[in-house]
Amino acid sequence: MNVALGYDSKSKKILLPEDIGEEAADLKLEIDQLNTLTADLIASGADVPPTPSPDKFNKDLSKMIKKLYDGGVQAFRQEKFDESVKQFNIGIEMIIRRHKFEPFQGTLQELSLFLMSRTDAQLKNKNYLKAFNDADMLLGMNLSTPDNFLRRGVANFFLGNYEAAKADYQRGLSFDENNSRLHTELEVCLDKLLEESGDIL
Amino acid sequence: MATEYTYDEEGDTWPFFVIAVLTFILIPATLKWLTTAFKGNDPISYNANIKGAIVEDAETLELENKKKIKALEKRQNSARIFNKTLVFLILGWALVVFLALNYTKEADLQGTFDPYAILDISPSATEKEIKSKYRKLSLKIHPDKAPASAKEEMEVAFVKLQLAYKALTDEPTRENYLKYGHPDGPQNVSHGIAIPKFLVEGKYSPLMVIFYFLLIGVILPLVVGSWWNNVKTHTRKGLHVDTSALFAKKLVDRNPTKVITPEVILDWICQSNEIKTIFPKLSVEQLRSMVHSYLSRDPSPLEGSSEADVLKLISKIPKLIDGFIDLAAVFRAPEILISALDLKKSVVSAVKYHGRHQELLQLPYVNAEVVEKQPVRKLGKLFSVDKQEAGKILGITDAQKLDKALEIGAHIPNIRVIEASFKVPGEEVVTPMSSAHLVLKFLVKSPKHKSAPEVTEEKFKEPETIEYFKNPFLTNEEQPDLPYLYAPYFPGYVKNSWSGLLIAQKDNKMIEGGEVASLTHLDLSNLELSQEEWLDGGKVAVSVFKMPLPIPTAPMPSKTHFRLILKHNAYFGSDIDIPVELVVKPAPAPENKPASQNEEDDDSDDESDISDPEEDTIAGAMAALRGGNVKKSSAAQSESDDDEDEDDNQSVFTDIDTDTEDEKEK
Repeated sequence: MNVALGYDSKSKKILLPEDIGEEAADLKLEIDQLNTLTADLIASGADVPPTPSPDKFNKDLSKMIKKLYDGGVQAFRQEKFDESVKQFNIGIEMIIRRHKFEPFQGTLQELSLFLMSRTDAQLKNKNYLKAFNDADMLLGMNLSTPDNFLRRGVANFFLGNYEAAKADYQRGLSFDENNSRLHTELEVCLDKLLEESGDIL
Repeated sequence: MATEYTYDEEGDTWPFFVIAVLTFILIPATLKWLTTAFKGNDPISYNANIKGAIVEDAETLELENKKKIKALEKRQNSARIFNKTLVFLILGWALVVFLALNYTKEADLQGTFDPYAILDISPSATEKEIKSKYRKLSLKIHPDKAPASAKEEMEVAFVKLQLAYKALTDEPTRENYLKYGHPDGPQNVSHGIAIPKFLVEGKYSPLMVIFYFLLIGVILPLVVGSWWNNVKTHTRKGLHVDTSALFAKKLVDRNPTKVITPEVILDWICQSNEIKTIFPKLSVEQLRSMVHSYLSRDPSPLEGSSEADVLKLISKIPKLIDGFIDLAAVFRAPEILISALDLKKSVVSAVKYHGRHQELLQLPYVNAEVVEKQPVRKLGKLFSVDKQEAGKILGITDAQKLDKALEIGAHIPNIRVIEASFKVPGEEVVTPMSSAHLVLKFLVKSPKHKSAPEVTEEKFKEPETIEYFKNPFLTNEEQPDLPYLYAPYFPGYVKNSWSGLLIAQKDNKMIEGGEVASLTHLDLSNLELSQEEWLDGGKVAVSVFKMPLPIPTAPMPSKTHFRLILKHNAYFGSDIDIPVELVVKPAPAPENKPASQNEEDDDSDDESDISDPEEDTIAGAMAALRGGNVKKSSAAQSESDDDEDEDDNQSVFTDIDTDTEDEKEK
């Protein structure tokens, strides 16, 4: 495949021809990533990104993010789940917009916190598909805690995927055998599975 | 003699040589041809002999596609019987018969000498017997007594007789006989080449040179070359190298944030070399829509491809998926394997891979639109309502068809797990650093069976024989072969089987070195039982399946969590997905009696607590209690059930909230 790449010296970006087709989707993604990284590197003002260390990230931004998080939790407490989801959305957006060359050891925790809370708010809002996506993202980030399995399990349960919910609860239990929440939810789910197949024990 | 080859001067040896060589090639080839030509040709009659099998196919069900399936089958059958091998076999055997009739003279056995045969006695005869027999015979064939016409013959026979007698009684002659096989000492033995002399010397010799040239210069390189080419272009599992390279590339380059769905795998399969060589003109989109039209059991024709093409495409897919699974197992990502197995299941049973009503859609005659609009999803539920209602659910109005569909549904095997645990042969507990295997004890049940019978431990008792210690997996083969599938839409016959995956819960990956296990032997006779017989348990057959744990158990006492998934190759609703625990314990010390006894007690207690399916059943028992409560209320107000769940959730959130606050304060 031959593609004529261009370069815009003003914005310092690599340009792809406009009429590029579907088959170059991978290339497009790669170029976009590259452009984002270069833009961030130029914006940082240094020739080379600074040597990373766990606490070298934008603390001011963290303060703002924390405020948003507190606001979201507050709204959650007052059962204004729409409002709470909104706050979390903005917070997550801010985290995503963070400087790309920042060390993310500290900021990743921020993100997981937001995701966990947003999952809960979505579940409360009965937005189970969105809740599932957030919980799935959390588990995809290797945050295999029983609570996250509980979140995805509950989302699966209400989406009608009882088998998947059962597997989630069971995997959650393998990390904490005595988690009573998981046990009760698993029972509900097994009960539902039996009912669905018209069986009795 | 030493420097010169002798050729077959009289031309009486070479036919024997040619016949010998030919029969060596022809007999195995014939046997192979016979087995492929007549094996498994009739799965219906094969299945009729197996209890619990479904004895239906497109023809007996009178489905619309039966003609096309039969046509394809006929083509495949005739290709199996009338092929190049048959031509070769006919020519070969004709040559053998021709040579045997025309060129073989009766063998001249003058050179051999068997005194026992000449004297007509057994080799164990005593000297006395030999003597008396010799006397009798010598009287009979003495040349003096013979008529003039047969005198010469008699003389020869008499000399032979004397020689035979001598060979058995006279010491030096006997020694000669024992040493060289002839009483006169060594005989003249000649070795030569079984090619007629006229071919080598004389006017035909150029022919021979050409033959040698063809054999060594052309045929041999061709045979070796084509064999090597095949080895080079196909992997050990029969996948084209380009295809396996494509699959490997797709697997390595996959985007970790994207889920590999059956749809994605189907796309990859459509790009494979195997499919491309058959359908060079069709795009991936066209191929995909062909598969989709097959999966929706849509009889309306497609643009640009015939129905025969669709079936041809479909018949290739399962093998490609198997090849893909082999490759994907290396990546140890269970979700990819599950997607691939789901796709295979869909293709074999001609049911869409998305949606929630597959269990019902796999039955014949169902109206997909009706089924997808109603809430019942499981076969089990279908058997808990009356027949009229079932007809409404499936959208079948014809009573006879409904009966048949329900009959097939009742024969879709479900698995009820009784126990799943790890075991080390000869040990009470799983000891450290030992090679353990997973033992799955289960009952095969029909969706129409409700509840489960009590199964006593005795039914599973396994004699600990030496064979068991040598190979604990032997029992996997001891059960009867699984029958052919009910798959009336699929071109070709496949046998039932389950694929087993053992996944580590910790990292959600298949166990290192683990392969996809397959369950191919299973007694399905439970499917024939009535509900009463099922609950009574007397006739219920229990089954055991064992899977190896490819890694040695942990060096220290510990507990590891696994997830066991068994997936059927065609039926929906026949799968299981259960957690299994591997508890490694120190081997009980035999000398310290009271302590070890305590320990053992603890062990057995623990084990009953820990083994997961029991946990399942405990949980299930509690669920039944709840279920009892729910049932009373659910008819009146199904809302309350929901509310209850939500209440549960409320506590989830308060829990989680406190959690997150803790983290925040950190």
